Amino acid sequence: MKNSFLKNFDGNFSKVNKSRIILLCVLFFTFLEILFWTKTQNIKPNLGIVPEVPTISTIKAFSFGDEEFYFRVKGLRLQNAGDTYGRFSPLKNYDYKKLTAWFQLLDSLDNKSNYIPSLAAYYYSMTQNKADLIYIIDYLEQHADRDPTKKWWWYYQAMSIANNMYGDKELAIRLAEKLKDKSPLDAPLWTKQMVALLLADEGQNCEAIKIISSIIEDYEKADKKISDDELNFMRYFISKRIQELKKQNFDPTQCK
Amino acid sequence: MKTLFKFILLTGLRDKLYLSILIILAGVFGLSNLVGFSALSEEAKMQLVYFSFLSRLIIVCGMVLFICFYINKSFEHKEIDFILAKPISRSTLILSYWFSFTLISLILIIPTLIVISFFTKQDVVGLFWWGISVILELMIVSTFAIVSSLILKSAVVSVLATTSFYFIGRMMGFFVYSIDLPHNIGVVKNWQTLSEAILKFISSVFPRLDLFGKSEWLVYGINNYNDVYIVLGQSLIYIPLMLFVAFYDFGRKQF
Repeated sequence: MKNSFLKNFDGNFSKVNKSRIILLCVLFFTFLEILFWTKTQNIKPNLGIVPEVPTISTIKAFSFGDEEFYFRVKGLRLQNAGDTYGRFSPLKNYDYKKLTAWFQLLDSLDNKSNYIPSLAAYYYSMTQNKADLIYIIDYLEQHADRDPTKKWWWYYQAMSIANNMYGDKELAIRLAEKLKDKSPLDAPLWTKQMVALLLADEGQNCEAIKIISSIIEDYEKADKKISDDELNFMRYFISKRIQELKKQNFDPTQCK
Repeated sequence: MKTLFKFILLTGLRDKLYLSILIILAGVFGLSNLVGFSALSEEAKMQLVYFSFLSRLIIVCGMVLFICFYINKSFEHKEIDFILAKPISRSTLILSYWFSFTLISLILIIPTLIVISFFTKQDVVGLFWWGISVILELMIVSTFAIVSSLILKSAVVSVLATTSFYFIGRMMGFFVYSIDLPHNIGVVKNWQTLSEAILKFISSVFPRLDLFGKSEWLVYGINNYNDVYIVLGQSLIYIPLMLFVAFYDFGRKQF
């Protein structure tokens, strides 16, 4: 039947008729395509903002043995999350719980890199929704806990976010204490002093004095020299604080 | 053997293999720079990792295509029949192919190593061992491509087989990880025991290419030299294994 149809098509029709029929078929299918488009034009991919977090098995499968490359690719993807395809998404619309899961997952691939904590501290901390900052603070603390001697900077960032942006002084003081205790001796002097500054801001001057005294003792024991810049800052700070303490009639000898 | 050696190198030149790979590598370097600059921090590391991974992938693809189509063409044009008509053993022919393709791999990887050493910040010792492991990876893949091209009649099938071999080798870490997964969860069913046996068989037959050419060696240096010993050991075992498979199969072929 098929063969006889084609035979008739080839044999009985003139060339002009054939091309007209073919043209009609083209127009018909073009019309069908346009009709199809009207029904499907609103089917759009759900781009989402923060992509779904893969499992460790998926990472092992798709990293093709090079986890460092996979880490960098996914890190860059996370950096641009929500801002792809011409979009600009406000940070308050991001799922910070999912983001933190991504941070921790990528840390499992490369915990030496500072790329992910930089993203968290310098970019994702700029959210308009302050309640989400706790995820960033917790993540930075966890990341620094992996190797405090090299990662102490992220304790400082977590403390700074907690103090200045999140507004939780107690949390900031706890992180500042961690910074003081866990940063190496060759870290800048301010890492040891930060907790004293925060306590002094809270009016806990006795505690601040105790901490400064213990810092001085530690430095003298270790015979560590303090740089001129650090000394100048300490002199400036002390002279400023002395004026304020005098106004408060603070007596350091009363501190136990 | 020397003549065949020179002929294969010239074929690479004639087919513009070296030029095309160089141009693609230049494009990849530009792309890596772009990607690196767009990173919030560690731009140099991002650039280095992107360039090293992509350049390695491109060279592997280039070599697989070149080897499979070259050997297939040699069969079609009866070049192999002509060579074997002379007093050259089949093993010598295979070894000539192997040396030639190994040298071409070396020629192709050298620009990558030069670019990485001069234009990126990398760990020098890490770069040395990364270069060695990538060359060994190329040798393993090239040897497999030679074997599959000699066994299979179609160039396309040889390319697909070699590419699958490469990707399975690269995913071998995942397969090995999957073997233990049901036991870790604590639920082992009959079909999982069967799939475990299949995975174990696959992992014993395929090389551990996932341990080769790790980008972290370039960024952080070598922490554990066991990785390097594994790479060397795997190459010393797998390359001769495939060469002997080629000798055996090609020796039995009727011309």
